[in-house]
Amino acid sequence: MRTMLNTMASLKLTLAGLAALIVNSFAVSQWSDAALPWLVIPLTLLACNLLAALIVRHAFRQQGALLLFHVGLLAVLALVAAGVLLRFNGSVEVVEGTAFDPAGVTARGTGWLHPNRLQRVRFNQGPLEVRYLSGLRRDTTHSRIVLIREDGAEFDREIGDRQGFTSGGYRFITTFNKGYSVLLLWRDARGRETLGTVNFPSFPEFDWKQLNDWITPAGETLSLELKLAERIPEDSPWTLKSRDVRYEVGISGGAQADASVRPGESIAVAGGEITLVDLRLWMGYRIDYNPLLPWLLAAAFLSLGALAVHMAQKFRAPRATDVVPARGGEQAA
Amino acid sequence: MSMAVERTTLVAAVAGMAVVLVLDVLLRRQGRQAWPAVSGALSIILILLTAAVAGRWLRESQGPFLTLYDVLLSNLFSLTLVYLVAAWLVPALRNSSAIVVGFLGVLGIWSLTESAVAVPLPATFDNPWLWLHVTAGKLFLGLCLPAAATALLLLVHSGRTLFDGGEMDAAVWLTLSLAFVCHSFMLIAGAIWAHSAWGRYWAWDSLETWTFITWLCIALLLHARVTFRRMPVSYGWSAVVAIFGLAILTFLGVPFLSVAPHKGVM
Repeated sequence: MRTMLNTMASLKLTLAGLAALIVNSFAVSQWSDAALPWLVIPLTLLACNLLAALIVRHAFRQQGALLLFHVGLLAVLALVAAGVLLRFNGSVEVVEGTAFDPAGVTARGTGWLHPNRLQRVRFNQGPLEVRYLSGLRRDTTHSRIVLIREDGAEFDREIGDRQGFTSGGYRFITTFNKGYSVLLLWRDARGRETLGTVNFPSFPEFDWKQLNDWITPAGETLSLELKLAERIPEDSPWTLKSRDVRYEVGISGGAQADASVRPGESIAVAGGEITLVDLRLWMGYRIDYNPLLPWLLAAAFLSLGALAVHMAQKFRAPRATDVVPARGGEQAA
Repeated sequence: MSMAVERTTLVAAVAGMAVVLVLDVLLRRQGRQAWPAVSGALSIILILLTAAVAGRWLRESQGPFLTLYDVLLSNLFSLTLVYLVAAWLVPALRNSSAIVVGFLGVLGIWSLTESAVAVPLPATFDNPWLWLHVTAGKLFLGLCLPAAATALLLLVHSGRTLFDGGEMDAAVWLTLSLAFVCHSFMLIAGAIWAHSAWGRYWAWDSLETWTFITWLCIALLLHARVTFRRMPVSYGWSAVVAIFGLAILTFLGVPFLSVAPHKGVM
């Protein structure tokens, strides 16, 4: 047992593990998530190597700061691994004046042990603005939201590129992905009304393609096109917002002829009538869940502090009088 | 400060580096101490570089973070400053001043060939963790330079008694170890900034990957030095030079060849 632990604690094994981690890190950067499992082998090897060294290397245990640094690294590794199992990454588009709907979330990465708590997330999207500098260079994002706590208390917040928010343990941050949305009122043949929104592609990135298909409650597929009356100024600052925008929506497809409607106007289609109510903006949020991040940060800083202390203990600044050049070298002033 | 004055200041600094290099070599050939003259001249160059960076910063109302020119200019400033401080504290690093100044001169000439037109910073760059991340990165590179220069000098003069090799060898490992600490902090601060800016602390983009690989290579070298104590010292010096090459490739090459979201942040 002791022999096996000694072998396992070998520094040569550390070198092999580090070399493998270098190669596999490069592989991950080339083949993305598909190669992530490749990291598990060298990281497991290094973790076992370190644990064995902690047990059998007395000299290692005696160096407190060095020991703490390595234990901190083990903690970082364990927390990263646990974070991968618990994590959730996703995105969602939320329209001004509407509430966050978990059904609209697109998951991009879900850990095996992720406790799905998206139902606990409650917020309403308020007014949005994205400011641009001259030349259509994106400046700042301003998104007002109303956060609703579990006890029903509401908090008004402005978030943006530098400031996200957390609800139900999920962190939301704004992205560059945002655009226009139209609020439509559907009235069926019996007079029943349904209010809903149709989002158009990201704006101004796809300003030339503001099209989307919509299937009416009666089952008819319509093509909607947002037609903005004014072009974006290229040579002066501009703000993307939903207020004071002149627009109309082109409707085609289905049984009726192509038509355009302005705000407040209605158009009869198969099975009912559509009324264009309002223009809104939608904001694309990135969602992230990892409850272990504060612990990960603490472990990383603990490890870093221990490394700094170890280096300070190990090296002492060479005394000035020690430096004696043989010829042409520098002597301390 | 106008862009023309900024460029003229930079040209003066680069020309000053050429003068310092010649002065350094001549004084050493005559067997005289080069450091008093070299450090004095480098201090004047540092003032010029400070003026160029500060003038640009004030004119553009943003830090030099984004373009290759910004990165080269700010690195000229930080590398010069860190070298002066490091050589003041660790005299054995002074022997490699010609190599350091030569390298700074190459960076200076490179910066003069790059466009000085500023690009507005994205809003996500307005974050205090970015400052800490970049500062730690500059310190890392600034400490790596004298370590690599001294290691290169020892390699070139290997087997000859031109210098006190033991003292210089110790200085190489001291500065590399301090660089490792700075690199570690840079990774942590960068992860915090990335989490704030993009909602993830790590994404294996090109810059992140190569930065991590550089960190692993230093860790590998520090462990190898303990593992193979009888290894010829020149192997270790060669590895230090190689690591500096990797760091330069990572910080001055990868960000401008990739489409990483924090392109050119260093």
